[in-house]
Amino acid sequence: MHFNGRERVVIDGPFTEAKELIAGYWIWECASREEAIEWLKRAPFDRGEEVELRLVDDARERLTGETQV
Amino acid sequence: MEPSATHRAIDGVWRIESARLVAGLTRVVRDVSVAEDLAQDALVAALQQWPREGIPTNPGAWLIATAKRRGIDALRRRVTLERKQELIGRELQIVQQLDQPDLMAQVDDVQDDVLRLVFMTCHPVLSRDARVALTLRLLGGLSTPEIARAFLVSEGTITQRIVRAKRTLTQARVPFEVPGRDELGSRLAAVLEVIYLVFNEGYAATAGEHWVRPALCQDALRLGRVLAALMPREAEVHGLLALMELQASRLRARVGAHGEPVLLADQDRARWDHLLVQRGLAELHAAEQLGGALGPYALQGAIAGCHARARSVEETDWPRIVALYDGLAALTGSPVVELNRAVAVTMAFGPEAGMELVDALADEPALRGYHRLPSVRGDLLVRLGRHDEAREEFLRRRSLRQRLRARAAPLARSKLQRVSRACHARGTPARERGGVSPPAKADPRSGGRANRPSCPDRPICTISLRRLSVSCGLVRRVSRRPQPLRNHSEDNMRKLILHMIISTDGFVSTEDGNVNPAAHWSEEIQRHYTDLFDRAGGVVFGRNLYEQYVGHYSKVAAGEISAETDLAPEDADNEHFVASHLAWTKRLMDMDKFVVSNSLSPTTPAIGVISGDIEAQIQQLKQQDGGDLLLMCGPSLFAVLNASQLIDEYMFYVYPNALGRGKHLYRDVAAPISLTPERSVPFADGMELREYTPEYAA
Repeated sequence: MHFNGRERVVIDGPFTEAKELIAGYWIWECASREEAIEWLKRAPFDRGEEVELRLVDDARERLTGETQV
Repeated sequence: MEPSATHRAIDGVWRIESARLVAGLTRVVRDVSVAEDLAQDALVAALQQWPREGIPTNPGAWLIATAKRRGIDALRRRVTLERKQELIGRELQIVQQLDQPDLMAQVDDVQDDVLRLVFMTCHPVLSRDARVALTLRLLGGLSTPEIARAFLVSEGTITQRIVRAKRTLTQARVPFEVPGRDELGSRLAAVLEVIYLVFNEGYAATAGEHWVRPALCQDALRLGRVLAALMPREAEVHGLLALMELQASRLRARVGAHGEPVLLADQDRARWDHLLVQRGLAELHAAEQLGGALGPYALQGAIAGCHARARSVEETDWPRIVALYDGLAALTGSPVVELNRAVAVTMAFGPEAGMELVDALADEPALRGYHRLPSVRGDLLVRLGRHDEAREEFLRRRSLRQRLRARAAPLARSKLQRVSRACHARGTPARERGGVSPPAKADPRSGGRANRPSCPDRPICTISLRRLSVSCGLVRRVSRRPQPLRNHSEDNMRKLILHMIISTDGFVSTEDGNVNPAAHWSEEIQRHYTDLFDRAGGVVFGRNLYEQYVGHYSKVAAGEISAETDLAPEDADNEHFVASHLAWTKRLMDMDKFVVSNSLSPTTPAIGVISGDIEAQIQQLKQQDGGDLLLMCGPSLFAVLNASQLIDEYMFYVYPNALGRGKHLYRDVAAPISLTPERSVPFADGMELREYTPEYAA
């Protein structure tokens, strides 16, 4: 997601290997990719930042050991 | 964006915004029911427009503006159409409130509004079930079908529960506010209880095929995290969250490869979720940093924290667990906590020290009938090498159960405990035990483990729930005002459904007045009952049956008689069954109950007594709002109500035996009865449920 002023642009991946600086990260627990996007839109960035959203873990799998289908 | 992705995005927005939206609107219109309707209208509008026009930049603001606009439009239309004076007054007021230009500015204060909403949906004027449903709906943003699926009840049940809850809040004029200091403690306890109930239903499901339902745990964790952010200065809020995070961290390790439960001592600690462990420990730290004595949730969280920090059972800080149990015992005064404490003492200071404590508990009346006492004792005796005594203890455990059953039988409970092996064999696996397991057979693979009592994974949740349900019982009465009579057409009058246990030759009880000895609890019947009573809006009892039935199950619900004793000995270890039985007794206690009696005086405001013109009163009862009424009575009341054509459905639970003598169902019936068969359901233990409609009702 690209941040510019109040504008947010969602750019679909896949992305190549990051050569830029990674300045920080969050781990979020959300019900869906779309919910994560909605949360990310609320992030207080406004000067051309970019944030990549990646699935790192499946909460249901964490709780039960089963993979979510 | 394709439609399904848009819908998932709208779901996401709804999860993020709905609580704040409903809370903000509630503050403006001062009526949670109106507020939710407006919020739902806005959601419908979003579902229509967003897939076409895209998601707005600020969806929250869009939703509230739409809710406001729609609310004004709809209310104005209704005000023009309807001429009911007081309605106009109220709705004009709402229009004026909604019409304020600075509505958005007011809604800036949303976090406080969400907190006010939590205290409203968990208000003691509501029943426990209603608080849970309303909280999940308004704060969790779950839809009615989602809640129904989570609790495995019909959507209709949840819809009705929510509608009634909102009406109760309106009628009782429950204020939209955070309670003042004087009552904050008790009101906050009610909020925490609701969240923990949701969590526990996920952690140890009382209904359904699966004995854990992680989705509910996630919902509870989310509510807990929201609350902790809203009330960062309340130690118990952090305590509850710590407890839930730490328990959830073990969810994955609690289930074996074949779905069987795994005891804490035997769990593969590498499978614990260390992210959740860290979150739990952080919350625990927050609770402790706030100072003051830890409350019951924080203490349980701290005990869970001791387990979470330990790399093995041996490395567990047992002396600290003992100290925490000391605190918990002082707070709860519960002998079951004392028993768990004795287990911790054993782990910390050896079996002799534990034995001393257990022996001191031997005469505790509340533990009489609690089969885990001889079980723990036997376990300790094994560790002390006193094998003969241990054997006696385990025999005592067995005979204790049998004696309890024998003593319970003359109480003429409606169910005895012989259970079909067929049912049992299909039953849910016995749950991870909260107390101490019986001694394991020496297993070379387990090393020293065989002689070690398993440590309690869920130390005292049974107790806390029991205590909480007692306090619920007290406050529940507030809501038992007579419901307003409304004009119904014949069609939507609630039904009176006869529930009758009979033998094949039609006897409802034996010569001695006892219920058919073939009747008993099986897991299948429990499921049926749980569902039946969940859907019902109340029970009408004959006096005799009321005294026997409610007399017995109220003690079970209150924990005076342990729920296991209602079940067959082989089912007493089936914790899923025991928990669902206990939950059912609590549901029974929570329901509206009416007793037909000319002699009984109302001893408690929770019970309606029907005397004098029985027919007119039952008719009136049927016209009130609510779910269908179950009728549980003997032959004489049955004859009266049948003659006045008040019974709408018959449910006969026919057990495969003949009694030959006793009270016959049709003893007092004067004229032949014609019935239309509706349905027949065979149960695995040989009982058959036969449902009929009487000819006059068909």
